[in-house]
Amino acid sequence: MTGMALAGLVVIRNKTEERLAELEEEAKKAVVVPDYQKLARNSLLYLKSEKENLTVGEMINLEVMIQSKGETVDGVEFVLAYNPELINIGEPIPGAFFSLYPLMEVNPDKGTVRIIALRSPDESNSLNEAVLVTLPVSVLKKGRGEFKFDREKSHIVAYAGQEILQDLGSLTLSID
Amino acid sequence: MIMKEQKSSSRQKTSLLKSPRLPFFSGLYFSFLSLFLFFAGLFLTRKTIIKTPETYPQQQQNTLQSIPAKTYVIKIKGPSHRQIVFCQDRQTQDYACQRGEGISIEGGRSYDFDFSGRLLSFGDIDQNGSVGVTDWSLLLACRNEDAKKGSEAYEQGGCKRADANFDGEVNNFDIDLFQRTLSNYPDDE
Repeated sequence: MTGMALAGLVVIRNKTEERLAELEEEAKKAVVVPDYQKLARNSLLYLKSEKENLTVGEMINLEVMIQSKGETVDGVEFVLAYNPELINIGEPIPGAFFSLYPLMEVNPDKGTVRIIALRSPDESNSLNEAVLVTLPVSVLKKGRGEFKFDREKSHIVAYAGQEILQDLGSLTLSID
Repeated sequence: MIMKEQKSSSRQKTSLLKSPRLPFFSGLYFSFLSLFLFFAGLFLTRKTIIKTPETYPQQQQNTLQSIPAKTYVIKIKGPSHRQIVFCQDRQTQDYACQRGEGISIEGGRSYDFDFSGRLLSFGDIDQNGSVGVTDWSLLLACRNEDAKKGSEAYEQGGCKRADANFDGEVNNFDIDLFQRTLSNYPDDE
C-alpha cells in the first residue's frame, strides 16, 4: 500500500514535470510562417583594415564587412571585443546597405562594440557583400590589438528568424 | 495548520496502538491516502496547465508560504517581452533599481503590489532573453504574411506572439513598438 502511495506521488510528479517541460517547449517554439523555406548558413562577418602594422597615435578606419550569397538579410547584430588599453574606438559610421541602426554602442570599460542593423520593412534587396559599419580606430599603446567577435552574440538572420551566419573573422593589429 | 497535523497524528498513533486489527486499517488508510494524493496531484497539475502566460492576467495572485523574511526583487517577463526587475512597489517607468535595493517580503503575509507604472517592453518573440535580429526577422515574416487572428500563421504558426498590442494582426504598430525597445535597451534585466 505504501508502494501504491509512492507510485501515486511519482505519477503526479512526472505529470507535472512533463507539462512544465511542454510549456517550456511551447515558449521556445519557433514562429513558423506557412511558406517556410529552409536557408543555408552561407554568410560571413569579417574585418577589413587599411593596414595591419600601426604606430602609436595613428588613426585608421576598420570596416566590419558582411558577405552573403544573394540572400535577403533581415538583420545583423554583433558584439566585437577589443583591448581598450591599446585601442580607442570612436563613434561607429553606419554602412549604406541597411536602413536602420537602432543600436550602435561602444563600451570602452568593457572593451566591446555592439551593433544592431536591420533592413527596412519595405525593402527586400539581396545582399552579396557590403560594409556593415566603419569603426574609427586610434592607437593608444604598443602591443597586439586583437579584435574578436563574440560567437554567441553575433547573428546574421534572414527569412523568419533563420540564422545564416556561417563564420566570423577576427583581426590582429601589430602596434609599434 | 502544523498544530492540527501534529494533533491528528498523535491521535492516530493512539488509535493504532489500541486497535487489534492494525494491518487491515493501516492498509486501508494508505490506499485511501494514495488515491487521494493521486487525484489531488492530477487536480493541481490541471491548475498549472490553466495558468499559462497566454491568459495575460491584469492581476495575479501568487502564494509563497515559506520564504525567509528578506528584501527581494521581483522579475516579470511577458510572453514576448523583456524581463524587467521591480525593486519598488509602484515603480515608475524610468526608475533604475540600485544594487541591493528591493521590497521587504516575509512568508505567510499578504501583499498588494502595483507594477502597472512600469510597462514591459515588447520584442523578445523567441524568448531567448534578448531583443534582437531574430525577433525582427520573425516580426517581418509575420507582417509580410499578413498574419491576422484566425489565419494559420497567427494561430498555429506562432505569429500571435508578434502581435505586440493584441489588436489581432501583425502590422506597423507592432514594428514601432519593437523598434522602441531596440533603441532603448534590448536585453533582459
